[in-house]
Amino acid sequence: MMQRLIRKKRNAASLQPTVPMVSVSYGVLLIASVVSIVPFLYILSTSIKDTRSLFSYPPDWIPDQIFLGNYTKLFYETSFLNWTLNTFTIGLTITILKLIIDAMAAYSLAKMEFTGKRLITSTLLMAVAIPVAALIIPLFFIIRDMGLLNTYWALILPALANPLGIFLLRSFIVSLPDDLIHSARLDGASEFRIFTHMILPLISSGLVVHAIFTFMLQYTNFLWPLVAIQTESKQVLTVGISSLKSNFVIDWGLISAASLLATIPITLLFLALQRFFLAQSLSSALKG
Amino acid sequence: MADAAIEFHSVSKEYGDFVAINNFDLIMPQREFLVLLGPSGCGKSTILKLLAGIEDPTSGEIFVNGTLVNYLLPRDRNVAMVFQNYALYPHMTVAQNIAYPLKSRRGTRNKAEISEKTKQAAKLVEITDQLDKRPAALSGGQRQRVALARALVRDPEVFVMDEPLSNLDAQLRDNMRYHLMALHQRVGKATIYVTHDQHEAMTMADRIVVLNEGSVQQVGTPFEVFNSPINTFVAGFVGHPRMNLVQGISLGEDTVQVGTFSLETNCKTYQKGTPVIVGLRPTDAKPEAGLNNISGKISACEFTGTDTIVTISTPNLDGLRFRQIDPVSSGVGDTVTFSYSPEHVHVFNQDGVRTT
Repeated sequence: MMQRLIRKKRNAASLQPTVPMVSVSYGVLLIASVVSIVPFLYILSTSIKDTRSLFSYPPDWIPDQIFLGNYTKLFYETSFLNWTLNTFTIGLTITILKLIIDAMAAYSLAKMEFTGKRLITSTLLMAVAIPVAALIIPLFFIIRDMGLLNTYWALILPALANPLGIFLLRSFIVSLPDDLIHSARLDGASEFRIFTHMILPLISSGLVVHAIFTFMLQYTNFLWPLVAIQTESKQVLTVGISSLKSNFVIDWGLISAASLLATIPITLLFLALQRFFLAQSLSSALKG
Repeated sequence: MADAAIEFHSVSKEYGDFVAINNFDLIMPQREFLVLLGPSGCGKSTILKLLAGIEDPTSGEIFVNGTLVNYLLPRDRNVAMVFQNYALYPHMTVAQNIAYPLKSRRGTRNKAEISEKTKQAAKLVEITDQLDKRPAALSGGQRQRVALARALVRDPEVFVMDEPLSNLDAQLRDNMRYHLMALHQRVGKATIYVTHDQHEAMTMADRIVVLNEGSVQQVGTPFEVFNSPINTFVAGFVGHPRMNLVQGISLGEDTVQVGTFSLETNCKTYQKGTPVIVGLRPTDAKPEAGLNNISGKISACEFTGTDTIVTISTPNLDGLRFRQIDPVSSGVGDTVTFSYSPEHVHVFNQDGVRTT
């Protein structure tokens, strides 16, 4: 008994981090932090310098005089506000519609029995595996034939067809016990009420994760908006910012200011919802 | 049957080639507490699901209070079900859980009426002090009570319970068993209760339906099922320790031979020389010589607390078990004699059917 206790204590002691282990951990974390934060600081620094002091040597991270000309130029001489509004409108529309469609599809695939269920599931699964780049050309022709090129719908509709979210939400719904749904049916709930009152609240963390993923994906989407939208005022942030670089002059200060402002909303969104995001990552890790 | 609460007429349920329920017939009067008893996978939960409308029968008809319910949605059958895992809604409080059947029904009652009925149901199962808690904050027994209150609140015509006590520890199970029976007496609604625990079945049921592989083996009161098992499956399944079932030979004139022992029986016997199966309950054995004696050497003793189950070996028979009330009177290696009254010597034909 005593020996077992001593062995237990030893095991516990061996789990205590030693000084070299802690130093190495901090070292690795420090390097990772520097690698991630330096580009951000560089953009910040570039955005508050005028073009002449950009290329001074040695470079000064904090300029003697803070120059806000890049920001004024961005707001008054470009369509930056328009692009931001477009990005948010399209991103939020896609996120809301995708949550509704994917949750319904996931519920039916997870908990309902119907002919062709397996076929539909495997077809959707195959669709996930096709890279977006491979779809660009056929997608362009389809959207063109529908007369939707250069409209918001050209960006919204194809995004709704991505089935990845269905599988994410399906995994949440599958884990809910069937008896919960049977019980609600016996208690008099309609299928729609079961969906809205039982399923949706019980998979709320999954919905938040899906919403973050979808919005971030749309926020950073570049290739398809570049192909589908020609009018500058209808463009989204990613393509808009890249268009600030002309063939002859690259205004790094202006581009940095735009990039910096563009990262703020998505960072705030992530910070606000990281609780759900981390909870989901941990739970999926623990579920094994 | 005009006053029947539940009727099953030739109900079958098949999943592809697998027959889960085979031609199930049952007529259940009002107020009865009926237990479906059988091993795992025998189809007892499927019968509940068919009645509740969670599953559709492949064939046959189901009536609740004279109404054919085959084509009714679960919510229109007025059947309340208590699930094995309680199926409480985790995102709702206890009060919201109990009130849910009232709120989700068409023809919604007003808030005051819902609140009043919720409190009444909570009071009936004694959980009025837990109404603001979430199910996760409750113990197993409390969750079970919430599930019962949710079933009670809408005043259903029939209750069905699918192994509702199986997740509780032994002591709590005893408590809840008593509580359930008292509740049944008070509410007085027909109840079908599913269990694989024969002790639960024997203590709670007005009638027991013993099932095996989707077919009814026997329907009867606990007394009938225990004392006159219709076949070797029921004989072996009901009763603890399990009934000794041994090969024997009919000697005619109400006597059978088991090993070297002749036993008189009240069961009908066949022509002399016909092979039969003889059933002897360990608990029916008298620990002294009498009319029908079986003697042998004790090869194992299991002390249960109140008595000892001894296993004896004879030259022709092995592994017969008998209850010895006095736990210390004899031990391994001792020779003992047990006797049986003729009414406790059960005889089955070679197909396992009681000869009666």
